[in-house]
Amino acid sequence: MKNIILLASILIAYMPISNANEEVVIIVHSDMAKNEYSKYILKKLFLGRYTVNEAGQVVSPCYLNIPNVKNSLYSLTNKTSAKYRSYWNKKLFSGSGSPPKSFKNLKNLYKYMSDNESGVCLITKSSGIPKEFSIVSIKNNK
Amino acid sequence: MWIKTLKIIVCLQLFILPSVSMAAPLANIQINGYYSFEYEKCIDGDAGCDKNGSFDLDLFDLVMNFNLSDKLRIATDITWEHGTATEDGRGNAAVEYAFAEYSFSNAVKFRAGKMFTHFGIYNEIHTAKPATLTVKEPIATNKNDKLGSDVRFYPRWNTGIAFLGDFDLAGSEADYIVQISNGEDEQNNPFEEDSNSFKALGARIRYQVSENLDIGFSYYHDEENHYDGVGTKDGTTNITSFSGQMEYESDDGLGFELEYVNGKINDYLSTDIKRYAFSLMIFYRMKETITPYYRYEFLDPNTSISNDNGELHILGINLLVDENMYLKFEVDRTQTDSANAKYSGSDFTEFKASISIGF
Repeated sequence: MKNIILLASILIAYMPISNANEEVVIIVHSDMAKNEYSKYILKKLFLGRYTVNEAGQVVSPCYLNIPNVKNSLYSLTNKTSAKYRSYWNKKLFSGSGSPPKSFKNLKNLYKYMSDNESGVCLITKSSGIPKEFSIVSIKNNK
Repeated sequence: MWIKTLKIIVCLQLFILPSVSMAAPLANIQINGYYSFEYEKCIDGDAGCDKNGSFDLDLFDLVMNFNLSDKLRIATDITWEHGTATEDGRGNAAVEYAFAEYSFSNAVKFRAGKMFTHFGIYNEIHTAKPATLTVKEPIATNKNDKLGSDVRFYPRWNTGIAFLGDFDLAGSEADYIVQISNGEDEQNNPFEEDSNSFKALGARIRYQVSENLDIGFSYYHDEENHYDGVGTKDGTTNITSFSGQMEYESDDGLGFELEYVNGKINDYLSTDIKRYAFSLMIFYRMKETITPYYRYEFLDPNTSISNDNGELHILGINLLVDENMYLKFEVDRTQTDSANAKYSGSDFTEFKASISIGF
């Protein structure tokens, strides 16, 4: 029985997520002091302009590399996919910083977040979020 | 047998593991890069272009970030240009930049090392072809010595220290950088030793006026040694350059880039040379994958000489064909006046094409 549960967990973790209607949320490690961000700060975070939060903790953005999460990323940063790519090409290749990490499957994303308590990551809500992570509250003000 | 194995394990722990622990963990090393392959051919005139038509393995660059701690990173870009083969003296291998950066906060970071001169829109991305729409960066404002100027508005690279950061200004985002460096020198390696006591100063501030519009201002000043024909210093050249930049792109993908550079040289004979240049590019991102563009460039290398100007017209198209892979095709028309130091009025037209990939 344990093996079946384990197998099911692995299959769920690797399962490609393609439902465009799934709600996209931002998760952080539960140990992170700050779990509330404004849209303005999140935009700066995913554009590499905000790397340390008010608690002095380093924040590292990441996202699940599937279409509806990427669309949410473009919406969050107020950029089209072409502008987003162009923005990060300039920033990365000029030595100004690295783009948010992207993961093709949830297992690797969760592992990254477990290893890096600084992770602030975009995923789909129905992904079965483990208890060690919590969903970020998003404020509208700056 | 097992005792021998145990000894080997103990030796490994004593000598190898401690050195491994001092290195950055693999997870903290990020390797990216870019690649560019080009073709150029003269289609009219032959003053400054390739009549034969040539393929060029323009460059292969590795961009590496070593995140040594939450606040400390080392960034470098190593380039191999034009099919580098050092044994045959072919091509170029170079460190584009290599610096350590320590972050005190979002607004204050400190850098030390070799860096691009952060001036205008293009210099820090002039090798990063996936980051530019056109095959080459604007010559008039970035490589003005290739269009009739004696000296560039600013050097490509500098070695020194810098303060930089991101901050909010009047409710919008802004960033700045201030660089203090050895400056440039024709005879010695300025990335190792300063040939005079004067330190070059460079600075730039960029401000996001709206989601669609960014503006910026840059400054560079240095005193460079001037050498006579046998390499003996015979004076000093003062270089001062200012620039303003504007980048706009509408929600529909229609955009423009404008860069204006104004500068003054006080040369080793104490003669003042005033010069200016600008480039204006208009583009339209169609369906995010097809982007036609037109760019006009103008350079007046010396405002006291009336017929030494140079100008370029570039018409081209940029196609995104795969994830961060671009095909570019363009026609460049270069026109100069009769007193232009580079081409003396011999106009020419080139066809250029390139494949550039970022990874």
